Amino acid sequence: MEETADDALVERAQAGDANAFAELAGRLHERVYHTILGMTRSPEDADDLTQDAFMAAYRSLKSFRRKSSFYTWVHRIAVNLTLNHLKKKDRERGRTPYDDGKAVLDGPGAAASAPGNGETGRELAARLEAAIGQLKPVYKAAFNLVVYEGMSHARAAEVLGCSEKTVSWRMHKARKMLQARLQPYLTEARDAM
Amino acid sequence: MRCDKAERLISDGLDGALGDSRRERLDAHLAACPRCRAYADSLAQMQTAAKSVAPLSPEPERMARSLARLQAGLRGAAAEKTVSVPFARLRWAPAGALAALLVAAAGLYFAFLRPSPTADFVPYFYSYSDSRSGLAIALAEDEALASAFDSAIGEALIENGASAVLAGEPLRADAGRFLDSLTDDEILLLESAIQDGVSL
Repeated sequence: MEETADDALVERAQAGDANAFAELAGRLHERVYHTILGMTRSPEDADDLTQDAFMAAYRSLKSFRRKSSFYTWVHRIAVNLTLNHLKKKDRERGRTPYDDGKAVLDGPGAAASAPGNGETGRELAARLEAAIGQLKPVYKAAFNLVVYEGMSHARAAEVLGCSEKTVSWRMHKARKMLQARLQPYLTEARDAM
Repeated sequence: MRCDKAERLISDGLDGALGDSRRERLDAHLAACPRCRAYADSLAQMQTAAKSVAPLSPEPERMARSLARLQAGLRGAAAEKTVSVPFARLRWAPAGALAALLVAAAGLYFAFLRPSPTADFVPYFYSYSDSRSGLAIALAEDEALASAFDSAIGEALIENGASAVLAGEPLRADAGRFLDSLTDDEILLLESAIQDGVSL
């Protein structure tokens, strides 16, 4: 029902009705914002990128050919802009690429929660969050959409503009990197249960 | 089944993307492989830890401000679209003059000043780090371009990609969908090449 209503608005928006696009933006704003926030972990960045995504969609409205839903299209633009932003930030920070075999023992607070000091499930979750933050943007995006937003591989593939096979591969790689990083903490948390 | 294949199926299983037949093959492997059972346990632990984290949720005031800012931006963009055509042309007049100047300068350069070529022509290629996202945005925004890219450039990449990486040469372009048509082994090869700093 909602999709049908969106279609009518998209039609009006493509015919030049700015109010119709504003209404579409109002409907989708929160979902797009949450996706971006999940990827960036920064409300400030989410504010700016949400704005950029909708403005880009508005300017490119004529190129939308309705092969996917309008939400998927805007979502894809938002994810691509966010990926671009994250890659730029990584370059500016001069971050070294993720090392598959390196355990998470560096960084502030590592000593306090190192294995042997009583890792809890909550600490493990915090470690996991930090490790996800260090993944390359494409892996981070896939992990965020599938695990945190609960999307199927098919849905995530639509949003990321790739195939299900690619999503499956990125999830596998992301998990493998995270598992290698968190191995000492995973063992500790399991033993504590 | 090899352990690396099993690891991928374990990941798919956590995402609910495993059919009955693959599930049976994975179960048979896990029954016989303690290493993969341990790996499956750690991934399940990570999944539980991830699910235990409350989703980030901005304050309602922040969301309201963000939406108001967006609506204001859209109103501004809509107003720009209604600018009269003669005025719009006038707005672009300086850019037009600059473009004409650049074209004239380029003409002069190619006619009289350009040194004779001393090296082979180097084809333009996208660098992995700089252009992949820009390309992805362009492809997301223009479905006709995406389709053309998939059928033409994508095919060329698939034909030449793995051998170019093996030879340590840069690829001339890149696309998210390029990976789709590769085998697992070819993807592994590309992934390791990227990590080793090969420009894609």
